[in-house]
Amino acid sequence: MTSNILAHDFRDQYAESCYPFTDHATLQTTAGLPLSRGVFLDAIIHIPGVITPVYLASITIAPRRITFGIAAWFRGETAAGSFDPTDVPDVVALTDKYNRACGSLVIDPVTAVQLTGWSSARHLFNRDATTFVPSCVIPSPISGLHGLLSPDDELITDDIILVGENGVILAVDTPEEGDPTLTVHIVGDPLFAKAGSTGFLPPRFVRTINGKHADQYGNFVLDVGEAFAKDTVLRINSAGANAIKISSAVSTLDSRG
Amino acid sequence: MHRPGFLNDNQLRSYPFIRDTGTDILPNAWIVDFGAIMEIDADFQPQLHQIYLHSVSRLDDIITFRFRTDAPGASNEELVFTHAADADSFQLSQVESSSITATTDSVSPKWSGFLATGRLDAADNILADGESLTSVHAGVYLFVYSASNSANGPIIFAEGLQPTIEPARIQSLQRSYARTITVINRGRTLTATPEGCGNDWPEDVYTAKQQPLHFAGEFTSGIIRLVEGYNCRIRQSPATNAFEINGDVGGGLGEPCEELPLYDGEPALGGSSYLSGGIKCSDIIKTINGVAGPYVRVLGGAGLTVTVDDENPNILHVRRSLEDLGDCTARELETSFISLTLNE
Repeated sequence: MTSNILAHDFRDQYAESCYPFTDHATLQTTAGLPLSRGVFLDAIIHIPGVITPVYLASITIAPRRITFGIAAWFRGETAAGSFDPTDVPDVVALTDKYNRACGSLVIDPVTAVQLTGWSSARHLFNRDATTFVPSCVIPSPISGLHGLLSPDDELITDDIILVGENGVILAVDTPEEGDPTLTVHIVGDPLFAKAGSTGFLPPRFVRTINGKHADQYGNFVLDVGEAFAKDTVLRINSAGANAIKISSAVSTLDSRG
Repeated sequence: MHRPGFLNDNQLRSYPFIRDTGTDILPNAWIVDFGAIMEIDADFQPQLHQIYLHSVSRLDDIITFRFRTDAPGASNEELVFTHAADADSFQLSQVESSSITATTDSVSPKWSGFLATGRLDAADNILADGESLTSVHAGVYLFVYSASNSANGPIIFAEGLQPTIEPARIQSLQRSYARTITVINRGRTLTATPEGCGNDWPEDVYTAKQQPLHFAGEFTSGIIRLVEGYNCRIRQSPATNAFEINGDVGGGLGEPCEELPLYDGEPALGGSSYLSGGIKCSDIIKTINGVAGPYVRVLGGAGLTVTVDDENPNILHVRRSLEDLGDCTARELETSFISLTLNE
């Protein structure tokens, strides 16, 4: 009795086809090296900012690393994924240069081992050779704010926190009408000397003398009391740039005889 | 020749599940397609994490499918689909994740997905109303509950035998966009009480890393305008799509006339006039008899001595020194000085 297979399992069925590449894909490198159909079984590709078709642009063979480079049409490589050929996974995650998730390639670990037989080099493909079918590619147009790039080219995404510190104060205003605003105030830190030093000793100011404050100009007057009495012997005089001398005039009178 | 459609094909194979991952429990025709989007905080990494069918339960003619994931950020949320057993093929529904344990919906679902089911009319043979199937160990499944003791008993798939979704049916949005921008300000540097100066100010507990954070606001959607505040210049470079924020004395709103509060109602510290708790210039003695600091020496001249109190260094004693009066020389008596810090 003859029997028919009503439906191949998904991976079995597509391992025999060009999928996830288009039916017309040649699956050959620019140097003519053929890529086995069974290496790639499925794919989901969503590269931020890419809305055109994408293709497998390169396979780079290194001693302990095989890297797939993914490029969009009319652009260079924009995403990549790699694996260790001594421990071949069945899923290769794709990321872009900012380490953003760009999708996954499902590969057959058994067939993919064949790639280790390729020479250690970067093997290139033309887009006609390895364009992915549209159903595997999710267009991801630039819309909204994807992230903030630091001067070091580090992408900050997800839930971003802006911190004002060291004399910078950030203010948020959300008016009922109009757009919300973020205002940057740069007012400095009056106590910067303390903020920047762990061994900072607070200055010891003189605030009062015998409970008395200075006058409006910050000057404190040490007076002899009955300043205009002729018989006072107390003298308070400046003695140099930073000194005050408190003395008695009696000994001076005595010395005059 | 007429070819069946994609969903028709899937009724005859394990897709969208990976073959041999517990897919022999349910008819292939039940689930014919599935897709999920993992949000940025799901921490879903395609090489490490999976989505699997956790359980199937039936109540009357409603069959409930629960999908879960081992992604750390979303492992406590599940997708729950309810499809009618007697409906036509191919029912399609889309849901957002809900908490496995909490009764309230998640404020921000960690993932979402869609499910397409095929013919469910064989449900009576798989999962009768109120009956359930539980795996007891690998490869062995027993009907252990009856309608009388478990009205909603589900089929729960054993760990390692859970039907696992094909990786290419999952889109991870990890690090793919900015969801919110939260603005906070680090607490200002506060003055400290100098040693031996009493308790006019609180203890100096705020070091650079310990200062509290004050929430200033949050942006979740729409357009954000970046505004120059005090002493600020912002340059926009369309070519590089960049903002350059610079300090510029007098720039933006100019120079502030007083301290800027970090938040509405920020109190001054310790009764000070300043938010940072400092003292005013007019609150300190800058000169004595016009003699400026920062250190002023107080000397005792003829007939007087100036000494520092033995117990309280803030007290100066000015005393007569009668023994010196017999000496007709004008030499200075013992001089003492005290350093008075007037300003920095």
